[in-house]
Amino acid sequence: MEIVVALGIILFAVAAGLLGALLGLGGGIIIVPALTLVFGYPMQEAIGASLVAVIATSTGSASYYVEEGVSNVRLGLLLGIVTSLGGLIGAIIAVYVDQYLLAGLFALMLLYTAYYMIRNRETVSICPAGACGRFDLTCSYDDGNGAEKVEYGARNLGKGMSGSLVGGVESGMLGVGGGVVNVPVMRLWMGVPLRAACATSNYMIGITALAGALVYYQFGLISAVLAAVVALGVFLGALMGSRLSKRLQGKTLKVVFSIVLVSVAGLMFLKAAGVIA
Amino acid sequence: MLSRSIRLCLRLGMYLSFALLAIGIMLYLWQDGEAGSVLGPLEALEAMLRGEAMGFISAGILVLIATPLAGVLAALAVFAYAREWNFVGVSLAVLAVVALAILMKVFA
Repeated sequence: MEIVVALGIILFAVAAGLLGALLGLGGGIIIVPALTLVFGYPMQEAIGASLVAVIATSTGSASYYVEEGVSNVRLGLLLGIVTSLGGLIGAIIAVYVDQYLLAGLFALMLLYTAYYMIRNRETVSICPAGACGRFDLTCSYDDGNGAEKVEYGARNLGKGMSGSLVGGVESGMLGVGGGVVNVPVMRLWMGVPLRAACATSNYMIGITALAGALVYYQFGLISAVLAAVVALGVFLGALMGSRLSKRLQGKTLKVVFSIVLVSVAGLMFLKAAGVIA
Repeated sequence: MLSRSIRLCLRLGMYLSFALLAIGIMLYLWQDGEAGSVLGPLEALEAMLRGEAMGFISAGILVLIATPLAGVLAALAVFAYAREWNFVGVSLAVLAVVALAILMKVFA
C-alpha cells in the first residue's frame, strides 16, 4: 500500500470514527463505501476491514459506557447470543454472494439509515424495573443532570431477540455495527431508555462483529495492512468525536449526514448495476 | 465487579492492540513491506520476533478481535462467582456461537 493511499484511507477512517461517535453509529457506513468507491477495494475485503473497525469502535466506547454503568451488560449478552449468530450467518452469506448484490443491499441499508436518522422519534414508555421471564434485566444509570438515577427493566424478550437477529445478519453481511436495528429494537419493543439502548448497542456490536470477523479471517478476507490502517484511523476519530460531542448540535449534523448517505446510496446502486467499477 | 472486570479487559485489549498496530504500521512504512492477509497466531509471533511489520500488524488485529471475547469470558467468571447460573448459561451460549465461528472453515 502506498503512503498516499494509506493517508487517504486514514482520513476517511478518522471521519468515520468522528461521525460515528457524534451520531451514535458504527463507522462501517462510511468505511465500506469509501474503500469500494474511492479506493477500488472489492466488497468482501472492505467488509472484512470494516468489521475490525467496528470492534475497535465498540472496544473504545463500550469500555467507557460499561464503566459509567450506562451499558446494560446482562441485556447486551442476552441479545448478543442472537446478534453474534446473525453475524455468523451474515458473514457466511457475504463470503459466497456476488459483490454487486452486496453493493445493492448496502445501498438499501444506507437509505434506511438516512431515514432512521431524520425521522421523528416516537414517545415510548420505559419498561419499569423487574424480571423479564427468567432473566432480571433491571439496570440503572446516572443521567448526568443531577436527578435521581434512571431505573428500568426490559419487556418482550422474544420479540427483541428476533429483531436483534436481523441486526446481526446485517452486521456480518455488510460490515456495519447493526446499531440502526439494535437501538430501535431495544427502545421501541423492549422499553429501554434511548441512552441505555445506544450504550448497550455499543457494547453488543463488538460481540456481533467478532463472529463475522472470525469468518472473514478464516477465509483470508481480512487484509492485514488495510484493517490496521482503518482501525487506527477510526480509533483516532472516535477519540476526537467523544470530546466534540458535548459541544456540537446533533440535529443539523444528522440532516447533512442523511443527505450524504442518500448520495452515497445512489453511487452504491450504480456500482451494484455495474455502471461504475 | 461485573462492570470493572469487563472494562479492564476492554481497556487492556484496546491499548495492547493499538500499540501493536501503530508499531506495525510504522515498521511497514519503514521496511516498505508487502501487504497480505492476517497471519495465524503462531506465525504472527514468529514474525514479531524477527521484527517484521506483518507480525506486529497481525498480532494487533488478533488481539483486537479477541478483546470482546475476553470481555465475555470475564463476564462468565463473574456470573459463576456470583452463582447467577442463568447468566452463566447466557455467556456460555455466546461463547458457543464464537466457537462455531472459529470452526466454520472446517464445516465449510
